[in-house]
Amino acid sequence: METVTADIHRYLIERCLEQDRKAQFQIYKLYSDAMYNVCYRMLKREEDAQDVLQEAFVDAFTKLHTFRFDAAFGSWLKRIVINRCINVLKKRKLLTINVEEPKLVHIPDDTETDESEIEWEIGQVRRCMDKLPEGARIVLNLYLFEGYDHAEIAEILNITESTSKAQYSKARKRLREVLTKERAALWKIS
Amino acid sequence: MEDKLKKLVQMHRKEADTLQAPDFLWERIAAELDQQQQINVQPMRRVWLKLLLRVAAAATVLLVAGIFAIRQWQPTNNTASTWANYPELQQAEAYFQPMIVAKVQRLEQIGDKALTAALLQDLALLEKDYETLAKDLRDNADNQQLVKAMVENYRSRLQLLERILNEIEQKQSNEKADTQL
Repeated sequence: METVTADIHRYLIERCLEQDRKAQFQIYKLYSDAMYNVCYRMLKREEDAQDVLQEAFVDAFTKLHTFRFDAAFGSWLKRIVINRCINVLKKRKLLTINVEEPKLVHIPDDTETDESEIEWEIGQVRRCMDKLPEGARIVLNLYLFEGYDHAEIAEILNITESTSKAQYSKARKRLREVLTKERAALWKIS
Repeated sequence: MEDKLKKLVQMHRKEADTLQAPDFLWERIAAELDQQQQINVQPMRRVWLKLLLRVAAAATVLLVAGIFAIRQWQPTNNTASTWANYPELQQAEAYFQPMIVAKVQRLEQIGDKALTAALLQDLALLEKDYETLAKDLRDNADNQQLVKAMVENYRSRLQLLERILNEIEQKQSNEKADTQL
């Protein structure tokens, strides 16, 4: 699928390399909505999301000659967007990822935890994610929504793969706590 | 190791993209791209300007060097002023120079190509020696030995030419006589 998409867009991309504004607009139309959602999920502020989207597209078009067609254009563009988002978050100074690996803390395996009583519900997951601290939220978002694996997250956040795994596990646990609390509150009301 | 949460999100992944990029964004992007292109053009102009300046600088250097060279050249060419203190040298030059030129011309007319080329090479070597002597004379003023050697150099060149020309002419006249017989 990915290679087919890459081939479909090859002509457009080649025209973009020649600074063809119409081709650039077509590429923008194809990817802008998806990338805007990525920005918003990362930054949670419309203005910041718009700024990053603008910067990322300008960035992508100006360094398009570095795109090698070996990956899908969408993933290449998304990495630019994600990196720019991370920069904004760092500037906000809210993003603090614990680089140290929790050595003595036991990282619970997903199979170990009994999730039978928890029924994840997508809307709730998204809502509760926003209540988490920035670091936990970003790791969860990159893994769950943006589809990166721990090796990729490690690269994006400049941490080790095992730190990424540990952070995800911790974040997931906290999410479950928030979710349970919310449900309990709802239970009381009703 | 199944991650229920991951599975759930993946199932609803498409629903997650609910927002639309605002329309005005493209205009902002296009404007910035236009600006970037102008910035890219400017360095090009700067490159041209740099190149132009370099060419101008090179031309100036060449011009100055040229003027300097001509000034340097003139006294050496103008033997009268250089050798004003050496009348014998002036005389030798006035005497030998035209004769040597005439003999070379004659040689080029009658001599075969290989012989002429070899001889011209020998003459060039002698000329080089002469230049070395002339330089020494200019550096160490008033050296009679140098003047003598320079006059001798002229004589050697003329003698060499004369000897070869004589031989050629002798040979040719012999051949003529042979054919007449």
